[in-house]
Amino acid sequence: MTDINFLTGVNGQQLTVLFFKIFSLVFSIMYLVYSLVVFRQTQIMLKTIHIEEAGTISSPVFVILFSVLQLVFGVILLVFSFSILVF
Amino acid sequence: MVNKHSPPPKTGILSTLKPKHDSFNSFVVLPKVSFESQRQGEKVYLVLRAHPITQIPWIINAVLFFFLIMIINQFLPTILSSVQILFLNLFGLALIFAYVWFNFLSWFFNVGIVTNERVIDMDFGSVIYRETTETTLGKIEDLTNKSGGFLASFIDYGNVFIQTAGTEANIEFLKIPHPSTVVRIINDLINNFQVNT
Repeated sequence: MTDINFLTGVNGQQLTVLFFKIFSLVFSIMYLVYSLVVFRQTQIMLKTIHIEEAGTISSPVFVILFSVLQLVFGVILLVFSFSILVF
Repeated sequence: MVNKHSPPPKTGILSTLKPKHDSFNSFVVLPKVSFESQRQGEKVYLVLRAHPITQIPWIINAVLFFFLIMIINQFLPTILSSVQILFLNLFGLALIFAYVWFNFLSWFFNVGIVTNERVIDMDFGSVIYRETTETTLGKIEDLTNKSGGFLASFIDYGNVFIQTAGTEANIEFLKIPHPSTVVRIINDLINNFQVNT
C-alpha cells in the first residue's frame, strides 16, 4: 500500500512559482478593477465640482491625467502577469 | 423688496475680500468655481480644503514604502526569475502610486464651499463613497472654531463646526487654514442673507 500524496512530482520551488503566478494574475486584476472604480469616481466628482485654479494646470485635466495613468499602470501589470503565467 | 439673487451689500470682512489662492489652493477666496447644484446668481465666496501640512504623514509613508521595496529587493529568494522580481517591483510601485493618488484625491475632493446662500461640505471618503451635506445660511444656528496643538496654532489651521437647526445634518470643515477668518466671513454672509430675505 502506498501513501497518497497529491503533490507527487511537485517540489517546493515549483509550488512557490505557481503561487507567485496566481498571485500576480489575481492582484493585477484587482488593481485594474480598483483603477477603473477610482477613474469613474474621479469623473463623477469632477462633474460635481469644477474649479479653475489660477496659475496651475487646469485641475480637471491634471486629475483625469493621473487617473488614466493609474489605469495604464493596471493594464501594464495585467499584461505582465499574463506573460509570467504563460512563459 | 430685495431680490434674493441680487449681489449682497458688502459689510464687515466681506468688503475687504479679494480673490486669493492661498496655501496650495486650500483657502481660495472668491474663486472661479461652479458646482453641480449651484443656483442661478449664487456666488461662491470660499473654497476650503484641509491645510497641506496635514497631508505630510501619508507623503512620508509613501517615501518609506518606496525605501521598503528597495530593502526587500535585497532579500528576495533566488528561486524567482528576474522577470518575476521585476513584476514584484512594478506591483509595489503600483501600490504606492495607488496609495498616493487615493490620498491626494481624498484631499482634493474633500471640499467645503461657502456661498452667499449656502454652506456645502463635499466628502470623498473612500473609493465608492461620497457625501454632500449642505445647509442654507438661514438655518445656521451656531459656528464654532476649534484649533488646538502646537502645529495648528503655529501654522493657523483648525476645525470649523457649523451647527444647523432641527434635524439638519451638521457641517464640519476639518483642518482648514485660517478657521477664525472663515467663521467671520460666514457670520457676515449670514447677516447679509438675513437682511436680504
